[in-house]
Amino acid sequence: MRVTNMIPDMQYAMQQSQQAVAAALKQLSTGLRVNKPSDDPAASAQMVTSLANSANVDQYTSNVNSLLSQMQAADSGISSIVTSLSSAATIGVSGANGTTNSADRQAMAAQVSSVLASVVAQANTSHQGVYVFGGTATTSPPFVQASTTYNSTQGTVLIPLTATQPLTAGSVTTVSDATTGKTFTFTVLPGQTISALSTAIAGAAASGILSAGTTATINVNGQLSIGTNSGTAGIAVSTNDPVLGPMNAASGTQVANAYAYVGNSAVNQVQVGDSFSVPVGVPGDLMFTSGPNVIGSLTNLIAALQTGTSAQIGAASNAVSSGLNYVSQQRIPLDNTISQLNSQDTFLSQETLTLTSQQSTLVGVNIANAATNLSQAELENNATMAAAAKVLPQTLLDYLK
Amino acid sequence: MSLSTSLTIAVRSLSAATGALQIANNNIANANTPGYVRQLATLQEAEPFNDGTMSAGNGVVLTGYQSARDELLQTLIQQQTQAQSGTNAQLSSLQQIEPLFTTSTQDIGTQMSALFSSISSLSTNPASSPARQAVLVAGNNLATAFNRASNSLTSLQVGLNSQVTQDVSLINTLTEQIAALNPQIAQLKASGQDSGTLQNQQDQLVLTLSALTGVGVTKADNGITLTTGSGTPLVVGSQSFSLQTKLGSDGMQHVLDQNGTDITTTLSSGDLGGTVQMRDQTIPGLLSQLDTLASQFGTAFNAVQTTGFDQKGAAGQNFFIMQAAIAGSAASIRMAIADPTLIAASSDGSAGSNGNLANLSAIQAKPLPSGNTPGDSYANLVFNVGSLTANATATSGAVAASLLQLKNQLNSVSGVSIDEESTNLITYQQAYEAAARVVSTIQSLYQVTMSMGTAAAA
Amino acid sequence: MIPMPILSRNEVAAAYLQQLHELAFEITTAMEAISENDLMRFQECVARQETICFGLIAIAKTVSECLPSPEPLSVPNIDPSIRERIRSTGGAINQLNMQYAELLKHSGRSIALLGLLSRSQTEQFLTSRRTRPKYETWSCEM
Repeated sequence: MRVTNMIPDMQYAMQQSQQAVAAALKQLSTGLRVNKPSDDPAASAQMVTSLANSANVDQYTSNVNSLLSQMQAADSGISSIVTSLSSAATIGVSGANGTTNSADRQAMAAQVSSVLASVVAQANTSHQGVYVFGGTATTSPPFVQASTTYNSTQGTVLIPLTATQPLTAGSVTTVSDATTGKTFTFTVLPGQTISALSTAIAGAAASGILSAGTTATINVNGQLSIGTNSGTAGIAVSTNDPVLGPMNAASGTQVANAYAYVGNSAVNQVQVGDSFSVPVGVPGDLMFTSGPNVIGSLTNLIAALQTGTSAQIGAASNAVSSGLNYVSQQRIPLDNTISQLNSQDTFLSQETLTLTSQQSTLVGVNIANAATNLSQAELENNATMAAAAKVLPQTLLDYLK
Repeated sequence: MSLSTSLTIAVRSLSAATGALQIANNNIANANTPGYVRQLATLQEAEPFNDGTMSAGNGVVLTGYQSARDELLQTLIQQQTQAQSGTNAQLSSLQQIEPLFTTSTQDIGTQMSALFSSISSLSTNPASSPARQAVLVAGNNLATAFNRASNSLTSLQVGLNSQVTQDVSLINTLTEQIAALNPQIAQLKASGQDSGTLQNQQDQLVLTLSALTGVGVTKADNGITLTTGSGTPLVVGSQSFSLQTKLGSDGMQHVLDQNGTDITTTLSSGDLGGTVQMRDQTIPGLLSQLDTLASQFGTAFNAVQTTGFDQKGAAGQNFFIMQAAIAGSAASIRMAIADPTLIAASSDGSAGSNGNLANLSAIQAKPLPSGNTPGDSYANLVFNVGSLTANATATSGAVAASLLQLKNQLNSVSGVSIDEESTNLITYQQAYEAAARVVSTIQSLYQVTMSMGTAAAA
Repeated sequence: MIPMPILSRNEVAAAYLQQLHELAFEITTAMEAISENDLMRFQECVARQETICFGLIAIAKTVSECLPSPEPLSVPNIDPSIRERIRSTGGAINQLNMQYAELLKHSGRSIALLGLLSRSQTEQFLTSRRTRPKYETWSCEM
């Protein structure tokens, strides 16, 4: 081969060795063997999937943490409530004792009243803006002070609502009863009027969902008025029907020591693993107004202490104790979920490690090795350049500078 | 032998020697001129003198073989130059496409994941306004990522489109010049003069033309004839025939021959061929994959949104604005909602329910109508782009080396006999066969190497 | 078979890595030899490649035969840094091999054409005594 024809060979060799240096440098600075899809198409495609899995695992971990802190807040609320119920029951037992007098019992009633207030406060626990015992209605306190009467915003003396007034189809009106601990829900069907609502509420009262005697009528002001017609039975009413407008408690009709549940019974599920979801907490009605109706039982104990016989006080105290047992039972699924979440947390951190290791295997390169590759490539490059310098005419050397 | 015959022979030898000296000088001066073909002083034996009694020498002369061999090498160089230009045209486009599908904080795969993460996060507190806002932001980022990838591909097409026009214009200039040289070269040959310099010039022009497009070269007595790959004449004798470009109904420049016949789809090599291939096959293929993913993903998302209820209890609206046709979906996909309360998280109409979010999350693991999950569809796209680029890179490097080999062969001293050369070539072919066997062994070792040290290797 | 202790497996793996480096070098050398048109150097190179491949296959067999019963994928049974370097070199060889294969394809075609020319030219010269160089009507599809 003639000497002058070495130029293309030299250029080729130089190009190759310079490319090798560049590649080694890239690996060192990025720590990656695969910097772009063409470096390893199969590995790159696998990385897409692996990274998506990592993102999911990270999110599951985040979900686990936020759920845990929420449920732990709920659990600690329940813990306080159990303590309160225990002390209320104790007071009740002494109150049932024939040796106490009226003044003592009034004092005891006041004590239980403050216990009830603190129980309600715990039942209205909110964690980072979320009311944990509201079911899926988490944006406002689930337990509100009950009143005997609620009136609609719409309706005036001059333009009263009437029994034949059509209601908005699909709208929902709920009546929660502090005494029964139950909630009555009325969803308007097309064509239904206020009269239908009244009939439905009467039926609910008859069947025991609402306190006996609860009615829905048009009052003298032309408003729709839903009331228990009893001085000691309280309710809470809400509606989203614009025909009625928001329902408000009639002033002065608040019932002392009576609380109604305005949350719902639904439970959201949250995914914390690829095939694993957990329920978010226990709804407040299931916990506190169902079964022995813990809140209602405290209300009754207060009333019994104020005006009841020893036998009645005794019965009311037993009801509070049943309530305490009931709450402890309801707590178990919550505690189970908490421990499941803790296990899942451990599992997820192992998954993270596995995925990270998988990704490093697919595309990573050890920094020490990359450094070695680089110095090797540079050595070879220097040798190539030196050889080229000996062979190439001056003009080409200038080009290289 | 008569005296006059001897004198004639002596004169001839003298001329030949003088001629050889001139040629040698020319060689030294032109050594570094690209394409200068080293002219061999082809000292040939004269025709055997036959006066009836004896023959005055003959012998196998390599001249004819050597010139044919050099022509073949020249042809092969043209071929490889075409292949190199074609591959490089494609490679340079692919190198601009690759970054669109390389993992970053903004690529489609990452944004799809981010959208699903934001939905899962919202499910822990569906009433949270910031969490809802985050879902809208994530949706917007994904739509933007689709837009960006699509727009980059189409603007690449626009660039390639103008490259087509440029290449055709250059081709026409070259064919004109080549045709002009034909009669000049023929004239020199006819008068027995040396046409080497013009010949080299013409060869160089043909080489440059080869870099642009595939040509068929035929050497005839009136010069070289050039045709396109499909047989349409480009240069015949002193006449050249121009190609034209015309805007087609697809918005792309089509290449027509001088008769007006559309030859765009026949172009497959050289820079023009590579450019057309990229513009009309490769990029549309990638766009189609991208559009299909965008269309099916957006449609699935919208379908789930409409089965749920928003925060006010109304039935869910579309999440994305989608066009009906699949083509262009990636460029046009946008957010349809800007109000966080419109995210249809609820499955029962109540404001706090998160039931429908689980349905949105399920889209991640469910196959789209194409048969793949969204993630796998994107992974396939990444693999596609990676493979195309890796293959083009390998071919480019290989052709460069092959071209170098041909140039070396052309430049080397070829003083061997045909038999020796023939034997060498057979040996070369055998060596190649052995090499090819090793290549496939190395290929099969790849799996073993990559899984070494894990139980999977066992 | 008694499972090889991890230390021996690492030594064997290191040998594998060394051979991979040699193979990479030989592929690069082969490509250079082709571009320089150096037949002898090329032949020697291919022969060395063959030898190295056999060696790699033998080593890989040794490693896999001596693995204990399946361990969880996350537990490497050779030193992770060696494994990483093997993978990294394996990937580089894969890319080199792709390029090398393409080169063989392109170059092989050229050689085949030249071979055809030689054979056809040999026949021609046997039949013709004309010695003036003639421009053959040479037609070539590119």
